[in-house]
Amino acid sequence: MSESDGHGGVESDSPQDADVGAAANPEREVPVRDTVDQSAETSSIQESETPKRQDTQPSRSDRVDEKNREGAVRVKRPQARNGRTASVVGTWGRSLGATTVFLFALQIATGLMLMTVYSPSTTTAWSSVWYIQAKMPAGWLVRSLHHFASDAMLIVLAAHLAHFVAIKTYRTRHPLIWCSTLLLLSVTLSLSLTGHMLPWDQEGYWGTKVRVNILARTPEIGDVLQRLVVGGVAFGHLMLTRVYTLHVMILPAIALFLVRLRKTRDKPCVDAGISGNQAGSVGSRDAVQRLRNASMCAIAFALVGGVAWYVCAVRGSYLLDAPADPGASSYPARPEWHTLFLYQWLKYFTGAKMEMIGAIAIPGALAGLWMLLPYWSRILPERAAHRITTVLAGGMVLGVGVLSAIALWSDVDPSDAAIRAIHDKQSAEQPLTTHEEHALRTRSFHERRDRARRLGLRAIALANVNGVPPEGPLALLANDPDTRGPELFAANCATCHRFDGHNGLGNVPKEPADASDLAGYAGRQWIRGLLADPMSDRYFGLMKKSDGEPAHTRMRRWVNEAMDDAADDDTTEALLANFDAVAAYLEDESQRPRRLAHIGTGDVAVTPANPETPPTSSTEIERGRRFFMLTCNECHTYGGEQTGTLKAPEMAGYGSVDWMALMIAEPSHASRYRARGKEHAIMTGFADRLSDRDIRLVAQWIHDSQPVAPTTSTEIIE
Amino acid sequence: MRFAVQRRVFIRSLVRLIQAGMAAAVLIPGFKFLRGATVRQPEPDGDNPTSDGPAPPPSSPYIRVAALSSLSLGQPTRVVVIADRWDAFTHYPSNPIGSVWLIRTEHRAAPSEIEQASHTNITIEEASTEVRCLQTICPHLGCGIDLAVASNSTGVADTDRNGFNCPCHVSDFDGAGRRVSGPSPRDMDQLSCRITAADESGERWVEIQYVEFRTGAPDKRPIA
Ligand code: FES
Repeated sequence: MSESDGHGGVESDSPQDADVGAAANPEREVPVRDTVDQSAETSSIQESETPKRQDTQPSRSDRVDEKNREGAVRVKRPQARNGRTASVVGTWGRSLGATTVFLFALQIATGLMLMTVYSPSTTTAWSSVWYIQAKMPAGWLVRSLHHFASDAMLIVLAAHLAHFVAIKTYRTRHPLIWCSTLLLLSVTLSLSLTGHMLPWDQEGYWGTKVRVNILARTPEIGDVLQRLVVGGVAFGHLMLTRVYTLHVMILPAIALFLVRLRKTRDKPCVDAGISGNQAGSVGSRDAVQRLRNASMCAIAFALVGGVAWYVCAVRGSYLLDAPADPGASSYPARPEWHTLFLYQWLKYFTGAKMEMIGAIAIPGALAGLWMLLPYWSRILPERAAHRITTVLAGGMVLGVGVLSAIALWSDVDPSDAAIRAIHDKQSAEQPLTTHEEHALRTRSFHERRDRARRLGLRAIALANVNGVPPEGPLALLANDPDTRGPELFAANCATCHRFDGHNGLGNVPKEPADASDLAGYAGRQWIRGLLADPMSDRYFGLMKKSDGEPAHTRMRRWVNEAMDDAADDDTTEALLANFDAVAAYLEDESQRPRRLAHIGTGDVAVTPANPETPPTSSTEIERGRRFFMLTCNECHTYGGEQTGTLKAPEMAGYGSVDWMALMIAEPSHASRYRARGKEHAIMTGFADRLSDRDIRLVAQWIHDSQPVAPTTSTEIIE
Repeated sequence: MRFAVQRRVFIRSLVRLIQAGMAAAVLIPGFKFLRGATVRQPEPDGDNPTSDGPAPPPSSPYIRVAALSSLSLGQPTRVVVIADRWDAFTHYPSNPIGSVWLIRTEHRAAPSEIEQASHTNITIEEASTEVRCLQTICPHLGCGIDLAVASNSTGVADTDRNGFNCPCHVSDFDGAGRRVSGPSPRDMDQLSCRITAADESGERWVEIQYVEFRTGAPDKRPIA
């Protein structure tokens, strides 16, 4: 598959020309091209029409070859010395074609391996990619090579085209060589874009959504195109199977055809290469070129492999985002590096008409211009053509670079100090500059980004531990208390409750809280704090009955009486020790300390749920239990039994997931806030608003939460 | 001789005809096959829309999305719309099909409403409650629209900016979903939405008709 022969015969148009093209010559002289090229200069059209003639007369070409070879070398050596750098560009530049083909072969090889595992459907795509990364032997290597080699292929192809421009290949060689290389670049880009969607993760999903919507705007045929790609109206199974077919069958077939086309159009050079093997001096130069090609391929391979190894093995990345969630709002999508410039470019075109111009008309015109380059450049005088082409290419490279840089630059996270300054300014009610507005936006973009990234890590961590359930990978996160808990809390509980002062997701709601703070609920610190001051804002202080009277006053009365009864320091101390013990006992009832495993990003990290708290001794729990039975059991039932008459909530299993689930579903249940048939729960029941599963998820999340210190799922997985 | 030529021409065209027939036999169904089937098939439930918003496709049913009491006044809430969904060969009996923003507002009851309220047994407060329902799909290129809350590192919500914002190409919308700046070609898409009468437990429910619209055009056309 080596391209070494395919790119050897790049020629200057005349010996007097001392620029890049000429300097590139001496390494690999194939004088037969001179004759062809001279005819091409006088009549460009003639050349494009007469490739067959060259092909059918190899014997004549060879003869010319033999005669001219030595002379050509002798004449042109000195020029090479004049332009050594140019010569390096020329000779190594020729290896770019070989490198492209090598990378393509690598893609086919790794792609075939991936095909044996990958399964295109919305429930299995993510899972199979996760499986490749996490479980298949060397799976991460195969997939990351495939991933990064596609990036490398784009870069190498772009360099290849730039080299063609520098040495004027578009003008001197068969037009199809230029055109097919350009087409190969766009096919490679399409391969990259389709490949990006296949894992069916958030990044690929939302990126594709935007791209398909752009595609749908193509005038007239947009609708049909969209339907053909999506396979219906909504993204789903059929879209995956279609994109998969494109990615593994149709686009590679086109790419292979283009590579093949380039080779056949290069026939004379191939012949020269073969005959060169027999003719001494040229044979050795040819071998040198082959060595160069091989080295360049090896360098490219080493770079791709190095990046793959660093990203996956060292940094531990799975190159996989959270499973695609069509119901997710606001995924902060950004295109991949190679289309970043286009994204920035489109920002300058607002309004439907302008966007059409920016997204389709201008890129289309530019593509057409480049596509037809071999034809129009032959009409113009050589110098003018070269100048125009160089300026155009340089301008485009510069433009792409600048646009990409702007896109990256405008997403740079502003410093905390800058954000604080802006917030100060806001609280002083000063108007913000557009720059500051932008900083705020960028910050919230980064917050969303971080959250999205954590979800991805979380999904992978969960899959690593439990595998993917049959419903598909979305169920991983949907059934994960640490992910769903805070979301459900923010949406349902945070209208009244707080979690360590915020709504569970880190934001403080506008309306003030009017119920307890549930971070670390039923944990030792939480109970102990409650016994110290039931009417603090953390506990019952904010709660009001429907008549506006403070609620839970009986608990306060009891605590006050108990403290008053403790006449001297000793009894006070004993009482406080009993409070500690009962807190330890109730924490035990809630089964908090027994829950151990928190799932990290990688393997299961088994850490105690409350690493800060010293382990409670069973004697202390027992002491707490006795105190509870003697004192608290008067009002609080235990297993339905109580010693007194006033009725307060059941304490058997208090704070456990089951206890909380019933409390959330039915706060006025007989074993919760209901006495003598009278409901006195302030909280509204969620039995008919949340599913049982969601109720348990929230309960589980609160149950697992750490005392006081801000604990969200997001931090646990870090 | 002439007969032979005619024969050859005839045979050749016969061969062409057979070839064309076979090609058509593959290509015509092939094209239909590739166009794919439309897969959305919701059951109409015969309700009449009573609220504002565009006329949705007649078949789109009202879907219950939230309890009115779970919406706090003026604070947009995002809810996931759960409904019956088909994805090619998979039938999900209840599955997220998208999400919407709900904004509960209260307006001063107009005399006619007080009048109306006195006839029926709904309270004036009930009569004056309104819920606005907005698509989360950005009319620009289809990203998800979020609240324009820029929270700082201390976790305090920035309460001054109460509109919406799309993170993809920075389209800004005000609290009612009207376009403020950015590339979005139109306001956020409003969906028709109604509030049910109170059920036995005294709860009133918000129901919406879920429709998605084509992106990138100034006019709002539902995706069929
Ligand atoms: S998709 Fe919302 S601004 Fe572009």
